[in-house]
Amino acid sequence: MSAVADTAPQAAAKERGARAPWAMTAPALMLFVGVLLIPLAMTVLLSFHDWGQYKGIEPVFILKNWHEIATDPYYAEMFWRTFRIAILTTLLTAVLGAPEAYILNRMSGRWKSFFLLVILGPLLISVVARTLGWALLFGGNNGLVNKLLMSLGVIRAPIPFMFTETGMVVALAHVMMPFMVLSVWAALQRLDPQIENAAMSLGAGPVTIVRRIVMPQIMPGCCRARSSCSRCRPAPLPRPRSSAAAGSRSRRRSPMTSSSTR
Amino acid sequence: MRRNGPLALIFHTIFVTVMVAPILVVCLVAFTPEGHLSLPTNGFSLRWFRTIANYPEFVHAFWVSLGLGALSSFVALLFAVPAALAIARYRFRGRDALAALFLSPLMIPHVVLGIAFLRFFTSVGLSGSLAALIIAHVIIVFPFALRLTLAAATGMDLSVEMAAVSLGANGWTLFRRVTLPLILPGVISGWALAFIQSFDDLTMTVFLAAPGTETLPVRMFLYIQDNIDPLVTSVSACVIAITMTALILLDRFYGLDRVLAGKGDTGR
Amino acid sequence: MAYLELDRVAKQFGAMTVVDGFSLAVGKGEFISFLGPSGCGKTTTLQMIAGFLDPTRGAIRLEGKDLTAIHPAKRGLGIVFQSYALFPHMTAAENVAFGLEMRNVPRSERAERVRTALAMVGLAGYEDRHPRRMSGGQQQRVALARALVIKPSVLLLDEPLSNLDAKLREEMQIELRQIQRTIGTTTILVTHDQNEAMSLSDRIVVMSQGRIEQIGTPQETYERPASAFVSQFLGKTNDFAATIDRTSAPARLTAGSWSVPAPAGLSGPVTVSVRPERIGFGDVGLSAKIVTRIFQGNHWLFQCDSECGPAIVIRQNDGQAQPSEGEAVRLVWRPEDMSVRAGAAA
Ligand SMILES: Nc1ncnc2c1ncn2[C@@H]1O[C@H](COP(=O)(O)OP(=O)(O)O)[C@@H](O)[C@H]1O
Ligand SMILES: [Mg+2]
Repeated sequence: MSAVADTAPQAAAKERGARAPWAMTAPALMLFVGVLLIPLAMTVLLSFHDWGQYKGIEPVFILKNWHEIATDPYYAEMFWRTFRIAILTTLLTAVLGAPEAYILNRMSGRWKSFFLLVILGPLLISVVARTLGWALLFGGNNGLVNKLLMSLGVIRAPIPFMFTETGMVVALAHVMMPFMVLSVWAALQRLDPQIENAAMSLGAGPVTIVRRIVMPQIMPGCCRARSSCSRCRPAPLPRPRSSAAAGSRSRRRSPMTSSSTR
Repeated sequence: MRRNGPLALIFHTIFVTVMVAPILVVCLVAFTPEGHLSLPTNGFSLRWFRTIANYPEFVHAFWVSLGLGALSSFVALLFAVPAALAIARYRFRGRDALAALFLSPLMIPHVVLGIAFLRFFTSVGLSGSLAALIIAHVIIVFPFALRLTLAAATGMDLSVEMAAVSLGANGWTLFRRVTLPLILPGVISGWALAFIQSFDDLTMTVFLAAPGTETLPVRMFLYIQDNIDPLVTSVSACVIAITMTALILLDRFYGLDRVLAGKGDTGR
Repeated sequence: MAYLELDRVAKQFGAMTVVDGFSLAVGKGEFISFLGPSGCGKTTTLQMIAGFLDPTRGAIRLEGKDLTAIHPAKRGLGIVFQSYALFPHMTAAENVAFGLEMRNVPRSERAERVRTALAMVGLAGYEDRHPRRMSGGQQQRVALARALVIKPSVLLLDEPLSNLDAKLREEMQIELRQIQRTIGTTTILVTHDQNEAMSLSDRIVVMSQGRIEQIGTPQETYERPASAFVSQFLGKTNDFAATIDRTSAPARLTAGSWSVPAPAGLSGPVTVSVRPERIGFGDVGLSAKIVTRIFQGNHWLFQCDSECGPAIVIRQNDGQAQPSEGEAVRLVWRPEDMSVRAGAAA
């Protein structure tokens, strides 16, 4: 978005008063400094303080916490896992979401509206409910899909899904998918359908059209969506009460108590 | 326009099924007559919908979520619209840095934001207040409000504004009579996406919500930590029903595609 | 005293000078065109008059008052843009009424003036239409009515007709001319179309690369172009390299086998410029061969290969026999139909 092209003389039409842009952004800037940068700075500061079970937070300057993060392989693994999951989620979202947006865009008005509704509707439905849905489908022996597949004899043991990385990636991709479809679809909206026709008249097949004509034009949309995807939101899985508060180290290795769906 | 081929339709069917499955299963389980989570295999029952009445905090949380989403998105737009106009039209030093700052809440994990806000609002004595919740939500929805407004402002034909100026419009009149109507589709879309973000946020809100200011996702989250019973599914089903009704109404009267793509013409 | 006066106006964007040394005096009621190729600074100059850009140097005065000190919203100029720039969320009538509203014209008077203005541009009955339900021509008429209804001291038109198709453009040109003559508003038209400039304006300002090449009536600029640029830009022209020899008496102007008594002043290598429609076929003159002959209804177009390079000749279709392709001819013209400039033809 940063490449907002100058629209010839018109852009300069607003050259009167060089202070205007600052006056217009000042309220937002003040808001962000006041309630985003300061809190974040305070948090960074906090990372240099000491903490004890009984003494609480001590305002001293130490590097203990940073040292711990840098040396304890647990954290390295955690960062790596987060990164990995984010990448996989993004990939999965792009690979499935972009074609779907393309298909959606080629539907006729009524169906388009309907499926747009179906795909975007989940945006408004709490992650809690959606995650519960995954648990109902795949949770242990009682998960619907597992039960179905086992009764059909396709699988012997339930598909491991809950509390696995695969499960997390799928659930996260499910959360991010509407954004991807939306971004790509919005980018497609701005395409001139005549361009596709022109490419076809020049002898391009459907694959070539998508690869050479459509993709280059919608990539910005994909990238836009990706920046929202990479913010990896932990999908809350039902588990013991500990996870809400910033977990202390002692709890972290507690076995992931499987909450059965009974 | 060309049709989708059979392969595309198969893909589409699977895609939609997977998207809908977890939600559908929640809705189905909501009708179970049993006391535990299971599909309603022997008859439908509204038992768990009636149970909601015994938990007024769910209803209260729904209203909190609704109000919080509407208000924080509106406040975010009050700040985002002038900022978007400035970024779209002027080239000034620090412009890219400002844009990056304004979009940064997208990049910061919400857990980090939650911790930062919790500590900040505690130290200024606002912790647990509705005000703190609103301010925090304004920040997290700001990028969505800004982005869509920016898209509209960037695409706007400036000569329309110049024409208005040459006719004597200026300052607030110019904004209210010409600029705002022209970017309104983007502003509305920005509001809608911001609202969705706010309405659904759990990760950050869980740090800031106190009894009385719990949003629906927080309330549900806290509930399922203690009890896993079909109540959450019936609450979810209600929210889904309300959401779908709202979306369908929106589509009927305004056009979902117009809201979501931030385009269209207000002069209908 | 001039009504609108631009005094050595210049505009720089960073290090790039886009308009330089632009001086022009416009009389009240005059119709002036800024004519030049795209990117030569026409819009920039117009925007400085309108107040959307500030001149880097120079002064702009309206009735002797410094215009640059006045905010664009207070200048009271009417502007019409190439993109029409109508307010899409307002009806035609609301668009036209906007300027009057800004001037706090009472509602009843406003309605009357809006109706008159729309009728003037031939849109009576379109009051409640929204712009996007109107054709390009209709939208441009609304834009014109909107600019004129405030009784502007100067009407500024930035390529107002270039989005219209050829036939509609011609109609609108005639209409624009009539309206301007009727109400007598001082008008400045920016265009890159020499036909439009010539058919509409009292005077044309021919511009190139930010500078004025020539100011004059359409006839002057066409028949006595001040520079090669002007003669090339205003319609087709033939440039022949020639020399003036002053050693012999009387001095002679010679191009190939063609030679006439030299006009006073110049000497050495010169360029002889003749419009294609002023060239005829005769017995003495520049020898040439006809390469192609194209019939264009009311005239014939000949592309010739002359001893001084390619030449174009246009002959009225007056029913007489015309030379055919491949025929050897002699190109002739009257001395008063050519203009001679110093320097060799490019
Ligand atoms: N805001 C600007 N910044 C930099 N250069 C500009 C700006 N506006 C116009 N120019 C340059 O000034 C020159 C003249 O532009 P313009 O006045 O629009 O030409 P015209 O209207 O004659 O086609 C062009 O080369 C254009 O690129
Ligand atoms: Mg121009």
